[in-house]
Amino acid sequence: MSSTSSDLQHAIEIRGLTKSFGGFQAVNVDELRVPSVGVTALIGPNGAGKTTLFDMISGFVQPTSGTILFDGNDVTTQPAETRARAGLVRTFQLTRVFDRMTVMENMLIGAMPDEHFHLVRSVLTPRWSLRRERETRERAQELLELVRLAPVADLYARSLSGGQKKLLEFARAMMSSPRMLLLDEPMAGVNPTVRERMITLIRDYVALGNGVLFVEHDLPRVMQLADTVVVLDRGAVIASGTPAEITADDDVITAYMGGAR
Amino acid sequence: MTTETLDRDDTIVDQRRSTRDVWMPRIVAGVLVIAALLWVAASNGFGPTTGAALMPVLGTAAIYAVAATGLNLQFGHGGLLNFGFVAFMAIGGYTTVILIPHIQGPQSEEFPGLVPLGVAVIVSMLIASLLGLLFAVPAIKLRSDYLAIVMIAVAEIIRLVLKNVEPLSGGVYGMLGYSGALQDLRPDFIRTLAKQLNVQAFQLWIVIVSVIALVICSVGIALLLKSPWGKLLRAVRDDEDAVRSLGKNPTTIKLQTLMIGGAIGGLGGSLLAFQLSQINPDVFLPQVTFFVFTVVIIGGMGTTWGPAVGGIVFWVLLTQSGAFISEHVGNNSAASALRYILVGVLMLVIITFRPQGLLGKKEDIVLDLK
Repeated sequence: MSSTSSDLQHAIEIRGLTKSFGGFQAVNVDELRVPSVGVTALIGPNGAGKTTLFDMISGFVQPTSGTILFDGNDVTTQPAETRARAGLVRTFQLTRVFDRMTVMENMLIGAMPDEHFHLVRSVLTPRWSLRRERETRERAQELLELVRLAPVADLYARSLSGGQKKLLEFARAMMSSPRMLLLDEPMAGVNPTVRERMITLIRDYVALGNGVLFVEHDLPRVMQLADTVVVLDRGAVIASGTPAEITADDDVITAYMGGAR
Repeated sequence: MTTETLDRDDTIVDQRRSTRDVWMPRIVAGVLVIAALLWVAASNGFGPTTGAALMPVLGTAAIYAVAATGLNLQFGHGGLLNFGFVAFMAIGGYTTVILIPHIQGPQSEEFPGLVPLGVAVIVSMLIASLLGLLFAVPAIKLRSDYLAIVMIAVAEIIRLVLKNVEPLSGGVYGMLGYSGALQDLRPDFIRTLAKQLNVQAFQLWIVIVSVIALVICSVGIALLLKSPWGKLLRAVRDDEDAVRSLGKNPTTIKLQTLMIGGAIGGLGGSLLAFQLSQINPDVFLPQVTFFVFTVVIIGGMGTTWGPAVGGIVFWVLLTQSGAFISEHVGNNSAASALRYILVGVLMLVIITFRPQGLLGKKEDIVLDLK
């Protein structure tokens, strides 16, 4: 990390994290810290291990060795849902919406706290459960208006366009107001209008005191959006710093341009 | 902010379902059910025996429909492929009979009842769901197709155990003489009603009990699915990883679904025991699972009343075609196997031309087979 100031809070801290698939070491990160407030971008050439690192942070892939701390707690062996409940919510590179549910229903699933989803509550206190659901519906409606999906709230999610699905997944992840939002290529395959809208939304979200970590290939957008950029190559962090520092870094240019080594 | 403008690539498929889309399947399903019942009546020449012929058809259809309601929850709503559903029915049926007065085994030993029938049925449903839980725990985290394979094995293990643990289950001789427990609860007016309808009172009573059970199960599940839990179940069916990323544990939901569906399967098994008035392990052959699947698929996966419609259409086709074949083709085993081929053809026709079943919505198809 370029910043060594101790007053900077870190939501995610990674130490000696590795992941091997057979003999191939996909990720080997000695140390990585993600500030709890601000936008951190994770970039790197194809196959650099970005998504694997992302999957390990969110709990969908178990690391071979090393530790992951979230808000100072060791979450290395915690299942994904436990991390999400603690405020570490992710989206997916290949958008995962609930196809056979409406846009609004998709949103409702994202709600937390989630006692009203419990079977016992749904059976024994159905009115309470439904009332709680109606309350979360208000937040869902606000978020849908924010991402301008309110007009399609009652359509099945499978009928949305790719860009709309990205927005839905993003809004759904925000339902629980997570302290750290992990976005895997939020702008891939998204048209320029939607992309600008997402950038605004992410900036607004961070302005509220939250953190965002995202993987992205679109370098101009990364430089526009990120406060901190972390560059991954062949599974290791080769540089990190402000966008200005990163664009001037020789190693980064070599990694991206494919210089002979 | 200006008025909502959608991006050029944001094309929306109009999904508003027209009145025709809603009512046509219902009308077709209604016509098919009436046609099925008329077929039974016609084969009795609409004579005085019609009622008596309809009773076993309606009873068995309703019982298969009850079981199908449980499987529909697991498979239609929850996407859990359970090829051993008959295991729940076997456990339910056997537990109920063991707990009430019955005769069992090669020596026709008499066993006194341990609890009243109502308690026996509830206990049998609980045990069915708990055993489902026990066997599903190792498989539930795996993909759906592995659950299917494990459950086939579970069902066969349970059937073979029942065949061999003679002191408990009566072995191959099975159990009988327990029907009185249900008939003792029959109100008097049923006898009068049965006389008017020219049917046997005990048969009419089983039909009424089964239909009530079917209505309670169907409405109960429909209400449950409207609850937030029901929404979460549909989300799990669509994408487990997305559910996990939103902080909910899909395994819990799947186990709960398996248990509720299993309890209903257990109820179906108990009803089947009373319909047959004697049970042995071969009542619960693996094919019963596929009968129940057929009922679910014909009626429509993920629908409320699909199992009821599917139950009648399936059972009438199976029994009436049997009668038709033995009359026109021959009365040997090869000819009687023809009726299963007919049911298979019906399944193929439905899966090819209307994969959502008679009452289903196209958007709800669980297995996209095309």
